[in-house]
Amino acid sequence: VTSDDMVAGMSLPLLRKAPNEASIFFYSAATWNGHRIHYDREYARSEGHQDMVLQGTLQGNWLVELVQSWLGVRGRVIRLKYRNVRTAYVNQDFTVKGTITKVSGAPTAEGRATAEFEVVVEGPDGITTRGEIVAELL
Amino acid sequence: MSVDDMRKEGKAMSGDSDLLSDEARSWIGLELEMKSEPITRRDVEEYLVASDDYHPFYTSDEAARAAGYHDRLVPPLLYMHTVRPRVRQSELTPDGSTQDRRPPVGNRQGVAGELEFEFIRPLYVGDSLVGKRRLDSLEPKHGARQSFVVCTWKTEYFDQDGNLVIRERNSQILY
Repeated sequence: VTSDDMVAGMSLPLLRKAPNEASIFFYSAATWNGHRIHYDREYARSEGHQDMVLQGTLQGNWLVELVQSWLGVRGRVIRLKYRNVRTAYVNQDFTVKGTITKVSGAPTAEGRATAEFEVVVEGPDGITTRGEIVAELL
Repeated sequence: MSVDDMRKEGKAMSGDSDLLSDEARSWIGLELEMKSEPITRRDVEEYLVASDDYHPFYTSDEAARAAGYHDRLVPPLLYMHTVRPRVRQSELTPDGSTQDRRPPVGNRQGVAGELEFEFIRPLYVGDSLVGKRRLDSLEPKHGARQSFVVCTWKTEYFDQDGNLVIRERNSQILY
């Protein structure tokens, strides 16, 4: 990818995710998150959830992964904004999608151009996380 | 009702809200400090497994150096967990969470709102952070089905040399 390839309106290749029990266990463990809705199915159901709940921050990480993996080593995510808008569950299939919204030659403090993206995580019942990302181009 | 539904319905309330007591208002401006230990290579390895994201910037010194960095990078969102408090099991809430610092609003229920980050410089193994968090605002909103308060915290993270490295803004929707 080069900055010449970046045009507003362009879609990024899709990132597909299918988190299972091990995925959410390891994410809770690595992030020291003891919240039972992420690993105790019976407890999650007692709170009205259909199954164990996927961590919101893991979905935030997917948004970064989508853009950073597409950029490769030609850029770095410098801003991220997102919100989880719908509960996501284990053993569902998710697609992470992104679109370039702006490519700017206006330099950052370090004199670099930037690219901006709208990004979402979509599950079987609709969008679960919406966000915006800015990357500096190296 | 989802967070999105609440946001769509939410209109700024004029005057005082029943949800927003003087006690809750007194929280505005509250400052907290959080500290991390130095980030280790193992912290990064565990996070890579957990997130299943093995970008060359996080796994290869050579790739990172070729792009102008002095070493491989720490995944940008890993820092949040380095400052998460390690408390005794007896101090956890019944749902297994650590006690959230949350102003006393309504029934003391809440959901996460928006998160916003500015990564001023990438973090490296060996960096340690001091986070200075401030409760910036409590904004009452009135929805068709429910009133709520948007609580916004702003945090600045400084490295071991006192340089600002991350800005964070996060909101909680309280009701």
